[in-house]
Amino acid sequence: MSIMLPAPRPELALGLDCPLTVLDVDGTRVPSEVLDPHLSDIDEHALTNLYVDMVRVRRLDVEAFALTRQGHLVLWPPLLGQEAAQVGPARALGDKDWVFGSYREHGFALLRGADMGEFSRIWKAYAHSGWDPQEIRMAPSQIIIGAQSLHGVGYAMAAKMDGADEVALTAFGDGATSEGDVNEALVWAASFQAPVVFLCQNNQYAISEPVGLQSGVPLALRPTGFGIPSMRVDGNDVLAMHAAARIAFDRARTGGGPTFIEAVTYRRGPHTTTDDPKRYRDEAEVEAWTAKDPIERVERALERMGANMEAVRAEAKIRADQLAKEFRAACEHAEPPAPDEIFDNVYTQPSKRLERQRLEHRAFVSSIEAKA
Amino acid sequence: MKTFLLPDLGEGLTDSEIVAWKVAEGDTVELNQPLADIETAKAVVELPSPYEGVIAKLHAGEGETVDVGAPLIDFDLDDGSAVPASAPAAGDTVAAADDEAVTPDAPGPVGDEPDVVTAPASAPETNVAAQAEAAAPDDKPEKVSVLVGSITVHGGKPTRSKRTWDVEPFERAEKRGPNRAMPPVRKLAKDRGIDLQSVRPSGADGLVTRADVEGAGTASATSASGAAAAPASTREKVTGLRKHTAAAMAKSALTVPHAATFHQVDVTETLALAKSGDASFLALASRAILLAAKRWPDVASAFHADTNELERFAHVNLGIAVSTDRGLVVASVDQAETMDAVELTAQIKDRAVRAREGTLSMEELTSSNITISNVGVFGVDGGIPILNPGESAIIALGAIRKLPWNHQGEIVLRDVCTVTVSFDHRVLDGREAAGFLADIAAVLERPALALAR
Repeated sequence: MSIMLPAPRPELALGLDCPLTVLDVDGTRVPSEVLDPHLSDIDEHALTNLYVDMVRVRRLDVEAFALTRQGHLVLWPPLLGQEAAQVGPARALGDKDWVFGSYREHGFALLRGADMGEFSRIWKAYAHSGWDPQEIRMAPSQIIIGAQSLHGVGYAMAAKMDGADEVALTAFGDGATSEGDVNEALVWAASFQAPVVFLCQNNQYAISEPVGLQSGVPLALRPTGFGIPSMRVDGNDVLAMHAAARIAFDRARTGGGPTFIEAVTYRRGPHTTTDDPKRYRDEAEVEAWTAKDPIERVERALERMGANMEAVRAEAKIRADQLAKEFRAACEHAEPPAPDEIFDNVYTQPSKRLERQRLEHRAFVSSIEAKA
Repeated sequence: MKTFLLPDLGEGLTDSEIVAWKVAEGDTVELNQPLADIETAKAVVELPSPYEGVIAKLHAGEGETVDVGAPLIDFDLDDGSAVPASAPAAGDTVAAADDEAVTPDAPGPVGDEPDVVTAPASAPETNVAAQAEAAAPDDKPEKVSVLVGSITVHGGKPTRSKRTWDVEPFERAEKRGPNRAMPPVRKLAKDRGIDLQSVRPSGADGLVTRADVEGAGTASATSASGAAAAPASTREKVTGLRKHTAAAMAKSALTVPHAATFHQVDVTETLALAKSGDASFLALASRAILLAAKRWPDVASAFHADTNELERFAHVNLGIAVSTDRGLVVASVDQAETMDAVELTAQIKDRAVRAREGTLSMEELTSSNITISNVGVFGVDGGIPILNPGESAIIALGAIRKLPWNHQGEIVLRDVCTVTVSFDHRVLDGREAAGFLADIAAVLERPALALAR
């Protein structure tokens, strides 16, 4: 009798030796037998749109970071450097697909159509979600590391049982792959062949712990131990990310089951606005990754395609500044919720006990206000 | 004019230090332009300008610590100064000014275009796709069939190189933090009086081994000069509560002539009362102090040296010294003489809890006029406390110990506590202070006496 132990199966992973890429750092197009067939419709116009998306996502991120320093937001986890890793897959989503992300998925939120006024409220600690999850088909930001992977797999399993044509994408970081939740999610996704896409943005640090401390092998090898195929992709290459996501979505939609994408990227900012990355990493490392900037790479590619970059840049700047202005205005004008609103969403039906607690809380708050 | 208040730059910080200004008064600044480097307890961060305008005033200099919520910078805004601060349009004014500066011909209203998959809405010359299609039809045969447009393709047939990744154990680039060692080695070092930090580690992962410690022992025994570097002294900036406490204690110690008297008290009966009822020992002791204060009203008073006046307070506001993570605070239970011991128990507990939470009001932190310091919780018998500024007496309660005691003519074990009174000798002489202390002791020894007082 022999027992099959779960063991990594490198043959299930692509890009282990060198992350899959189609755009070089200098913007030259490099062929990829895996990704190219899924980029046939991406013309200069489509690439321009991806470029504008990334510029807008970055502008939102930079503005929100400044707004936190200026006291308008309570906290901000920046995504600077990860724009391509989010924009590529976000633009591969179908209208009915769902996103289950972490707290750093601002690119997904923006491109899924979250209202900036609502979006600002979660980072002002005024609301539990920055959008209506049903409306934009994106679950609220998940602060518990990796928990959203289980939610995504659960949704995908339900979609499969319903026979619905929906795929769940769950996004998390490198640190989450060391959590039980993500490993459980991989087990369930594999067992039920759930239509789910695992998007791991390997930004190299779990707060201060480098990824090498968590895994001596590429993260893309981990899901293969569960029998889930994976791709290790250049996360700063928006086209490669877009193509890889399309492959994963196609597999899920056609009954192929789960796919894992490791986006090899880098978090150039701090973990959040309260973190000081200088305490755990070298500036030289940040500079090396800045040279691999996902946005500049597309600019060079568009230049090589003969695009009028001056006009594209101007257009992108207008849209990005408009977004920043809109977001700042929303932050400055947001009104805090009434103190007893916290009781509104505990149960769908009010209960006597909860109403009593609401009245007690209201009395307590007014007693403080009376003193002040 | 807009005044920018220092925000909480971390999560739950109370103050920050200005490391360096990058602008000066009179400078014109843009929105989000870096203004200063500011150090919080967590990190040095850059402060981006919240407004576009002129710096009218910097409220703090470099090296100064500013409280969260205190004014930091005054801005003269282009047209904002004409708008009253309460006007609802104030925020819009700033945003509009920003818009005009950055995007002279921004199209459309706010939020009209959340999805850029559709073609850009502005001038036709920005339609790069159309341009490119016209510009690069010749390239079509040479590029990968999957792409339309003029993307350059170089290299021949796609190839996949052999996998070269390997399992690599993680190694930190440099050793950080203090030396570490297994427990038996730590014990060995301790036994030999060798500082682990002075030993050069040779073990795996930078661990100090037994041989390292033994080698260090020999080395320090043989070379009197001590080749191993001794741990260096450190200096750090004192901020916040520590700074405040330091200033208050120095002022009190240097301006008030302190004297003290102490007394060992058999508190067995009071302790039994505390164990059997709803009032804590500290509250019962407070009752004893309040009863004594009624007989010696000068203990709740303040000496004003500038006017040579003695201020006698109408009520006894009992200060409770609480040791918190952030430092020492004195929280007041106002009009304590009006409360019974059960209410005092609740009030003292409330002050202690909120002192540790940091939620006491400024009033509660400053209104006391006589203070109790329960130093017994640290296991010591007593000490001579320094007066809380503006007060004339402070009582220290020591640890309660079982001591052999002359009780009704027999030597028995009794619960004994040392009570110390420090006092302002300008206000009280030894007679008053001793009388006050003796009255406290009398009630603590025989709580029933309280009925008579």
